[in-house]
Amino acid sequence: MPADPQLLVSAAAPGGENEISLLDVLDHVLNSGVVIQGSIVISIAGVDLVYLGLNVVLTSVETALRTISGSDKRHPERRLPRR
Amino acid sequence: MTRNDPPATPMTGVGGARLLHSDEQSVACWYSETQPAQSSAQADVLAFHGVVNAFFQRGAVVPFRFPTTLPDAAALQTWLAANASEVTRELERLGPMVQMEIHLANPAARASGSGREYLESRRDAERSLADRARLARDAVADLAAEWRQRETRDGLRCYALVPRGREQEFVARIGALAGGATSRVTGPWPPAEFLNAALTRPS
Repeated sequence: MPADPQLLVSAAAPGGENEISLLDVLDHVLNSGVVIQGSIVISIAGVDLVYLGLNVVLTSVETALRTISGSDKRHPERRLPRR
Repeated sequence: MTRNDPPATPMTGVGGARLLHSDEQSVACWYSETQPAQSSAQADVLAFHGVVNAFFQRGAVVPFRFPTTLPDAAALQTWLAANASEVTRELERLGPMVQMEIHLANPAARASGSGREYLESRRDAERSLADRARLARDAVADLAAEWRQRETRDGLRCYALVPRGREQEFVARIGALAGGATSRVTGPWPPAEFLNAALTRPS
């Protein structure tokens, strides 16, 4: 019998036209990605997270430049010296 | 989108903090300075996702798990200096790819009957899940460069590494399979499930 599955395809944030649920986002953001040993993570009763310091994303410089060129004039500020 | 289009990139990060970056070799590491209890955890998660997604839509991205926090920018630079080569390899390897996911739900177990019948029902459900996962994998065998799957509390989650631009083809093939009514496809996601374990499970 032909299927009629619920198919969701989106890279959009929740609420977008092709919606991915908040649970989907939580699952990805909290359960996958690079882990830095010794980073600070404090959870309280599994409800709220309290954290200090920096939240980080890695991308290629090429991708970053494309991203910035597609944004407005609020260019991110370079805060750390190039090594 | 052209250069004259309105901004599509959230140039603020978690807690509305300004997005900053640090470079090492060919890697740009994006971060924001956070303060405790500035906003709700949910809002922070969505802000983080928004930043990752903005970059992902334009190219390769290797996301950190949220929340990943470090004491200061110097600690981040130290980590980056030690790991930039590995991250660069992953950006190059995974850049042309996206992660598509199939969520296979457990068939409902028979609620009545003996304990033996219940166990048999559960065993049948597990076989059904495995069969459906195998069918799905076969259906996209030439599309998926890599495939992983993991049991979850409510079923089975399958992850496929698929070339950018072929997401709809992936969805169509899975949708054409019988039994799709209890499956769900999401994506494209950054291919975080396929990152080198050295980055996701540091020793």
